[in-house]
Formats: sequence, C-alpha cells, structure tokens
Amino acid sequence: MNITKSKIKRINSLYIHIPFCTKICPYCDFVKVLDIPSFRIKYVDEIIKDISFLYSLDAKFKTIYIGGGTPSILTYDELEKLLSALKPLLKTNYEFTIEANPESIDETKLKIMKKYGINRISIGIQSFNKSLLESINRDFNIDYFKLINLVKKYITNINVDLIYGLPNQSLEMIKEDLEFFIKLDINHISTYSLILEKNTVFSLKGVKEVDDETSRTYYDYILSYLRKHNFKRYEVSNFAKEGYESKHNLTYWKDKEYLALGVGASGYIGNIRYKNSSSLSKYLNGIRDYKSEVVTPKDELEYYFICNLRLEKGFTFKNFQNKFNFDFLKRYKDIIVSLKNKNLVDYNGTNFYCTDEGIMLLDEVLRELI
Amino acid sequence: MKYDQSKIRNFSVIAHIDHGKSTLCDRILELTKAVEQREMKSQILDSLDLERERGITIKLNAVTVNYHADDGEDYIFNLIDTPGHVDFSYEVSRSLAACEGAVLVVDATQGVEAQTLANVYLAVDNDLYIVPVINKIDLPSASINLCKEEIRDKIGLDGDNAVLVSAKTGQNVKEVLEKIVKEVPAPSGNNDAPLKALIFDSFYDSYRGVVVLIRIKEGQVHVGDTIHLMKTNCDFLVTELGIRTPKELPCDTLYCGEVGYLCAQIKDIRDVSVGDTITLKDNPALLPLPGYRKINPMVYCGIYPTDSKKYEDLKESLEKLALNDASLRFEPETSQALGFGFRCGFLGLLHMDVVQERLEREFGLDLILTAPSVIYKIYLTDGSVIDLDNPSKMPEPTTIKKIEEPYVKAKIMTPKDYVGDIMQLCMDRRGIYIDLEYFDETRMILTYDMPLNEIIYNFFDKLKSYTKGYASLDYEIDEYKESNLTKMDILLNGHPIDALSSIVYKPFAFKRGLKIVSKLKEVIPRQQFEIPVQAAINGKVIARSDIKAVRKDVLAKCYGGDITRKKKLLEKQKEGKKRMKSIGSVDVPQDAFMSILSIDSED
Repeated sequence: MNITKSKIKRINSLYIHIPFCTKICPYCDFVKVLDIPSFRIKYVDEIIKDISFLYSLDAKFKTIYIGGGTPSILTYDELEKLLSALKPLLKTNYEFTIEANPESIDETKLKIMKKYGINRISIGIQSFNKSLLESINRDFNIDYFKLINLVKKYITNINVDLIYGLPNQSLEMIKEDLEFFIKLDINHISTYSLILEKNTVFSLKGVKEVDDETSRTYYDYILSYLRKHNFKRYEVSNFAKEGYESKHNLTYWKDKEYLALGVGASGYIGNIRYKNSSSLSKYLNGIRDYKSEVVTPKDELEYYFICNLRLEKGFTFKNFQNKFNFDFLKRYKDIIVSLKNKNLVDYNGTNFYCTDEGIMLLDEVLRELI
Repeated sequence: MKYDQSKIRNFSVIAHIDHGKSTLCDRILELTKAVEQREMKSQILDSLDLERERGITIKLNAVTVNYHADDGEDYIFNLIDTPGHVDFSYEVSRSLAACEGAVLVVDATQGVEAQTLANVYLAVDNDLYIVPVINKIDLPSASINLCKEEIRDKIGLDGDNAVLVSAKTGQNVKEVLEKIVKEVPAPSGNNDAPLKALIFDSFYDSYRGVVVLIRIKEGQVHVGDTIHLMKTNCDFLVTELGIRTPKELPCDTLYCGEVGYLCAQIKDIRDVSVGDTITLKDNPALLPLPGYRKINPMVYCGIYPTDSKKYEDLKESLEKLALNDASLRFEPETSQALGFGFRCGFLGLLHMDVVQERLEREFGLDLILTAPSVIYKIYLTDGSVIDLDNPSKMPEPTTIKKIEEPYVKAKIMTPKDYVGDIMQLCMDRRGIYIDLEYFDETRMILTYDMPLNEIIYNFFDKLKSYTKGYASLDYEIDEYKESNLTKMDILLNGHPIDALSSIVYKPFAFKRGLKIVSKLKEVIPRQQFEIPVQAAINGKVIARSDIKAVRKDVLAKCYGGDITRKKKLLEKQKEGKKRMKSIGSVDVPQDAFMSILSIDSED
C-alpha cells in the first residue's frame, strides 16, 4: 500500500484487528483463530512494526478502535506493549475503544487500558439468558453487574452488545434482557439480529434466521423500549445516550477514510478500498498481503448512500454538494418523490434521511438510489 | 473436380429424434474426409450452440463432400440435414425439396416411431428415393429382424434391403455411401435451360448481407450475373458463390443439380423469402418452382423486451431470425402491462422455446414471454367470426354466441403397460377416445381427439413421465370444435394484468385459478406492501392468494469490512430488479408470465 504523509494527514481513524479467541461463537464470520500464545506474542510484535511505520509518517488519529476476535485476551505485557505503542498516535480530544469479552476482563487490564488512554470499551454480553448464552458458546458464568461496576471505575463510556433472533429466543426473553441491560446503567447499546453467514458453525448446522416479520416485531419492541429509556437510535443497530455515539464507527457510516492494521482488516484510503489477507501465517512472517479495489466516482456515490443512510440523521445536502459537486435533490428528484410517497424517506432544510419505516427497508431504498 | 451432373447425389437423412442421425452424418463427413479429425466436434452439422447442448437438430444444414466410390469414380454428395422433432416438420419438407434421395435411419433398439412415419411419408410425397438404414446394431438390445419387418409392414419398403450400421463405431457406414451412389438418382434438369434455383435456407452475415442456400434445379449461375428473385421481385448482382464443405469454398459457377450458397449484397432481409425461386434477369425462367407449402403457426405468444427501450432491437432480431426460420411469424402488439412487443406464432412449444433462447443468446435480449395460446374462433351474436390469438382481446361475453377451439388428432405410441395411465391422462385433458390398436407385440397406438390447448400445457412432459420416457407423440391439426370456454383474468393488487389472462375450460376454471394464484405468490417477490393476487371470471373473483409485505430488509451489521460486500450484493439485487417488469407498483419477474404453463390441471 502506497501511503504517503499527505494521504495519512486526512485520515482520522485507525482500526487494529486482534484475531484471537478462547472460544469461537457459532455465528461469527470475522477473521478469528483459537488462541495460541506463541502466535499471539508474535502477532503483537508484527502489529507494532506497522505502528512504527505510522510513526514515520507522523500519523495522528482522532479515533482508534481495537477490535477482534477478542482484544481483551491479550496478557498484561502484550496489552501494555500494544497500548503504549498506540498512545502517541492519538490527537487531542480522541476516542480510543477496545472490544472485550466479559471473561477476559480483570482489574489489572482495566488499569493498563486507562493508563494508556482507552476511554471507551465495548463488551460482548449479548444476553443474560443462561440457556441462550450456552447455545452461542458464550456462557462465561459471570456476574455482569459486578463486572460493569468494576469497569466503570476505569472507563465510563461503555457499550454492550445485545443479540436477538437466536433460535429459541422469545420476545419475553428479549424483554427480560432489555430490563437487565438498562439496569447496567451504561450509555451505548448495539443490538444485532442474528445473521447467518456462510461457513459459520450455525450455518453448517442448518440454523435458520427468524423471518422478517418476527425480526421486525423484536426490533420494534427494542426500539421503543430503548427510546423510552433515553437511548437514541443513531444508526440502524446502534443506540446511545446523548453525546455517547461511537465516533469511530461514525467514520464508517459517514463514508470517511480509515486505516486498518492486522489480518483480515479493511481500510479505505483515497480512492482505494483494501482488505488485508486473512492469512495469519503470512502476517506473522512479515508479509503484508492485501486485496484492493479502486473506488470510481460511481462507486463513491453508492458507498455514500449505503453508509450515510444507515444513520438516523442521514446526510446533509451541504456535505453531499461538497463531496460530489451536484445537487442531490435535483438529480434524484423522481426517485425521491417515489420513495417519499412510500414513506421510506424524508428531508428537511438541511438533511436527507430514512424514516423509521425506511430504515427497516433500507436495502429497498438503496436499490433505488444506487 | 470437373462438373458432371451424373456424378451428383443430393440426399437428406430422416430419423426420429435420438435415432442417431447426427452421428451418422458425422461418420459420413469423416469417411469423405470433409472434416479433418482434429476439427471434428461431435455432431458437426448441429451448428447452433443450442442444438449441440440439447442434442437436437433444429435448423437444416447443407454440406458438400467428395466421395471416391468403389466403381473408381468421384461423386459429389450434398448432404442436407433435417430436424427430427414434431415441431419442425416444415423444415423437413424444405430440405426434402432440394434432394433426390433420403436416408431413413431406424434405431435397431426402438424400431419405427410414429414421427419417423410422418417424415417418410413427406419424403415419398416429394418423390424421393429412400435408402433404409438400421442403426445401433452394436447394442445388445438391437432386434434387427423386428426392425426389418417393421420397415416392410409400416413403411412398405423392402426391409431386407436395409443397410445394417453402427454410426457410433462406423461399422458399414461405407455401404450406405455405396448405396447412395448406386440407387439415388442423379439430379435431372437441363444445365442449359434458364436458371431456376430454389432458396431452401438463408441467414444474415454482417459483412456480406443475406447469404442464401440454393439448389440449382435448372441452368447455372455465375459470379457477376444479375439475378431476379421471382416472388419478391428484386434484382441483385451475384458477388459470391460457393459450396460448404462445411467450410465455405468459393467458386465461380454453380451448375444444374448443385447445392451451394450465394451472396449478392442483399441488405434487406425482407427481400429474401425461403422457397422463392432465383432466376437470371436477362434470361428469366417462365415459371417459378413450386416452392413450399406454407405452414401455419399453431401456438401464439406475446414477446416483449424487459426494457421497453429495446423494442426496435427486438424487431430487428425477429426479422433476422425469421430469415432462417421461415415458420416464425410476428406482428406488433401492445399490452397495457408490458408495453410494446410482438405477438409471435410458432409451430409448437419447442419451436417457441428455441426462438426465445436464440433471441436471448444470439441477440443479447432480455425478454418476457406471455403464456402461449392457440387460435380460438369466436362467433359473435352479430354473425361475425373472430380469430383470437390473444386471450386479453376476448370480446365481452354478452356479445359471444359460441367459442370454438382447435382440436388435434393425437397418436401416442406406448408400451402396452402404460395404456391405462395414458388413457387417464388424455381424459383429464379433455381427450375424446378414437382408437386403440396394436403396433407390434409390445406397443400400442392410442388415438385421441384433443384440444390443442391441452397439449400445449405440459402434456408431452406428463406423457414422458407417465411412461418413463417410452411414449412418443405425434399430432396433426384436425378441426375446430365448440367448447365451454371462458376468459380468466388475473388481478395484481386489484388491477387486471392483460398479459396474464388466459382462456380456460369452464369446469376446470376454479382449480386452475387457485393454482395460478398460488404459483404467482411463489414467483413474485414480496414487496413493501401486501399484494392480493386474484383470479377472476367476468369480474367475479374465484381464487385469491396474498403476497405478504416485506417488513425488514436491512443488514444489521455494517462496519469497515462489510461495506464492499454489501455494495456488491445490492448491485446484484438491483440487476435482478431491472430484469423484472414493473406493473403498476408491483415488480413482476419474467417467469411469472409463463407460470401458467407449469401448472398441472389434473392434480
């Protein structure tokens, strides 16, 4: 990848992928491997090599996100090594997020995280229901209330994941989970319906997604429940209290550039979208293999819609005009009228966005616009 | 080779489908070294991809080869291939008119089939000399003596005279060639008379214009001659002549008795009509050749471009296809649902299928076909009669006195074990029993009068599946009979869709309506709103099924790595959507219009 100083100056976000896990979740299709200590140690060293390269470019970021896999699986030493290397890359007023699994968090790790500037943590709780957690291989036997209280001593900006649409999961179970989640008193919730991806344990077992009618019923319940409890939906699957939206993830949804390090991670620089090779052995041997595609002006427009319309606020006409140099409302007049008549989209003086109904049928809207 | 009329043999090969005709032709081409081994694709003469894929011959094709016979002389063979399917007997008659002889291939394991009989009679009608050949003698199940008896009893030829061959292994194929030399007469006709050349096929070449395949019946034609097409009354300057070996081999002159191709910078395909006679402008023949019996299409359907901007492209493509498919008819028509298109007439369903595939493949068109219909005769109360080929054009019921539909005489040959099942099938299809007779010890021929419409709807497939593929069907159009028929409309979201209307036998209407609406529910993708699908007769709904609304259609997770994949998926879906026809506010996929066809009325 040809990254120059001038290119990197514009980029505000950095993603780091840590692929190791102690258990594999049956629905996960991210690049992940079962944890092997010797690989892990080497992997952190390789990541730090890449980070050193960023030093040489004087790179600085507003947001850094360490995702996985399970980043919290790193030992104290490894965590210290990685975070201390990343810290100098932060601009002021930054957001620095790490993903964590409940079972691999302890006070020492939290202390290290805080020491090097981590100010946001995303915890994959998914559910409180024991039998459901067993079914997704995530029963860690942990008191989540205790855990969250411990986390709050060090990091106050907390996201938890909530899953719905699992086999045997009823609306009643979702209601119970929501009550628990609210009681945790956190400020961000991501809620995902189960997606069956190819080559996951679930898909091999022949598990089916719930039908869209059921999924919609669950979603509508979650939406109204969380809204009642002062959570604002700001993206299809993301809810936050005022001011706690994920700045890093907004980079993706506002279709801005981002850099990505680590196996299988994807980045977007200039007019190139790239995806690093998923091969761990290549990465460990210092080989930085990736696939890339050139983003044409037409692609760029499509990506813009695909990303921005996931947001409750959509995009501003001003931003669109600046980026593409033409008037959105004029160019798409007929499509907009037809979508508006179907109550899928709306706009005001500044923004174009999907309605509540439109967000649920976003793909339909996108198929018209792209 | 020097021209010698007595050394020319023009013949075609007649066979039932699968009896090995194309394989035999391949062997003949090998033996005459027309084709180098390395160029040998299996079944050379089936030049359309479609033909090779389906293993059937659709278009006739002509090849000129040299044969050095046992008498020490060199002969010119013009081999004109023919299709074997019931839909294409018209093409058969075209090729026969260019020949003096015909090789009749009979499968030693199957014997003489109903369809073979029909084509042999065509050949006999054309005064062709017939060389019977029993093929597949290498198979253990071959019963040669039985075949010989059948050739004698069913066709009236000397079965003992038949050549026993295996086209697969090449055994005895040379003997067939020797027989052709000795028994098939050389072409008659006067080489010095005014030119009369029969156009038996043509195709379009973007460099040379229309290329016509001709058989010289009288006289000769030279490069540089000005020719006159007698029916279309046009003149052209001959720019190229030649023979196909099957590679094109240009020459300066084609003489009496010869078969070859002719180019004359003919740009407008409408100037060429298969069956027409070519003569010379300066020394014209008095009368044209008899040409062909015009044959009328049996089955009609609407063909529309999915993208209505492609109407002109479709028109041009149909014109080009018609050039080498003389039996294809088309006329512009308009549908409220589908826009501008054509009502096209075909010889049968296979023919329709083939035309659709050729339009899509060779011309890159995206098409919507409506369900096929026969021609109904509508007798109105005011005494007039309408030929109705489009169900949506059915007049108001109050103005109709009676409706007649075409019946066919269907002959079904089947192993006797299946007679009971077939009789049941024919009864379910409104068949009227005429006759049941033994063909031989194991097989029977059932004769039924049946509405052609019932044959169109999936009858052949049913017949094959009832009899494990053993039954064969041959039918000929018989007469029109009065029937208890009515138009059934299909409503999507409350609006009648003209392209989905069909004419049904009233007592079957309720069942068929139910099946159609549930089939449409299956094939029409769900949309943002609920869509009622209704079947109605005279404005009264007789069946209904609802397509539920889509409630959620959004990817839950979309982060850095997902975006590229998401975009590709959406683009693909968008492509699929483009191929659908938006009717009112409902997106209807192409196959919805044909779904009426795949419904079984009896179960």
